[in-house]
Amino acid sequence: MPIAADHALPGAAGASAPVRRLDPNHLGDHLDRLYRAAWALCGSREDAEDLVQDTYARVLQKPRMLRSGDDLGYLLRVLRNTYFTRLRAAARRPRADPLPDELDRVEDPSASAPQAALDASELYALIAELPDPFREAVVAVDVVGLSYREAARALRVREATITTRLYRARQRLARSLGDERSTPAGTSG
Amino acid sequence: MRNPGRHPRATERDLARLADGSIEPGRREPVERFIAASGELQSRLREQRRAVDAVRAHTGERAPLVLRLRRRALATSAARHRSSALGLGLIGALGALVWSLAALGGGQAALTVADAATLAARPATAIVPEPPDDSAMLPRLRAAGLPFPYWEDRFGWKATGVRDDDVDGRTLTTVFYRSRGRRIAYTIVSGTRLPAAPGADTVKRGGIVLHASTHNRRIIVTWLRRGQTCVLSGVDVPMSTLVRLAVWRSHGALPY
Repeated sequence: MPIAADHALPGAAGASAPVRRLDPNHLGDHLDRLYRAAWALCGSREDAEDLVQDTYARVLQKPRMLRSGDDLGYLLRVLRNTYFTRLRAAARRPRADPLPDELDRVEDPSASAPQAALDASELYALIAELPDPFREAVVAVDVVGLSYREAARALRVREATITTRLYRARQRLARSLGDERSTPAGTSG
Repeated sequence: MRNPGRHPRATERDLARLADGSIEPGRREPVERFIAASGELQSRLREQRRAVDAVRAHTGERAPLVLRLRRRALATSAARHRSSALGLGLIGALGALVWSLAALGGGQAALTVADAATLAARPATAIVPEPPDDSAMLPRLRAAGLPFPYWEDRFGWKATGVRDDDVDGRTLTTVFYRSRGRRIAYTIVSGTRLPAAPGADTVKRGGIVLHASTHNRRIIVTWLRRGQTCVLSGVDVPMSTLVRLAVWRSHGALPY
């Protein structure tokens, strides 16, 4: 069976690391984080579901060889690429009128409380409105939980670039969230 | 320490790392001391922390059940595909996505009424054609050989959309109806009958035995039509309304 090695990592470290196969049996471990990342990218829960599904379909399409242990970073990159592919495809499609139908959600055991879900929707919608580079940085580090180095590798930029973008993304996000005067200092970090 | 006036970008990185706790231990103390002397930097740090806290507050947000099932189905299909060694593309084979509910719960799980009702939360994928006058059923829309009722003229529930799902080897066809801002879903499940939900109430109306239960806030009514399980559910819709709709046969025009 042919094996696709389509994950060439940048830098000497990636090139020298041993190649190993991405284990499909463990991809589900990252589902929640990918879902949150997709939600923050799309700004829509429903689009996020479709995006994650497409991402998994893409990854599972053929064996994947990685040069690092960073499965999550790899998945995030595929998610991001899939997202932009979908955006381009959507831009080419003629727009259709939406169905005269709205989503009526049923609660399931894995769902969060309604108020929390509402807050999450607002938060991820705000993240989705950030400019692409800022949004990707905050998704990689704050939403998915990658280290700065992993995020830099996943997004193929320098670590310093990630840090700067992250700072500015958070700054915009905080200002979008509302009046910062009501927030006490020192609640994290 | 770097001068923030001369190296503002470096200070931004310090603030970002300080806010999320990833700053190098040796750098934390001098940076904090420097920030303590600047009201502006303190304000910027608060912004960073506010954003970090906001995002971290939602790290418990989990992927919905439907997506978990889809992911499992993809993995199962991919594994089968690999073992078959046919080398065909997977995505094309996934045009009709099969959910593998049996993959849940160590193979013990089978489709349940609650699972079927979960489909009510999914969006419609196609519109429903309008029926001719005086029709009791929606045209060109059948599941397991059974038509869906047309309720708009009689009850005010307008059919707004339909979706098909393959779950655990069964086909589930769901029609969505709306009335005054409320939405209900009518699913016909192909195959052998689904067992009633545990603890469901059993009622008999018009010669039809119905089981009524709730799943979270959703009220679910199930019954059989020619051996096929029908699931009607809605949120904030009285059970009596669902029962009345379920047993309506339009004087025999709608096959049961």
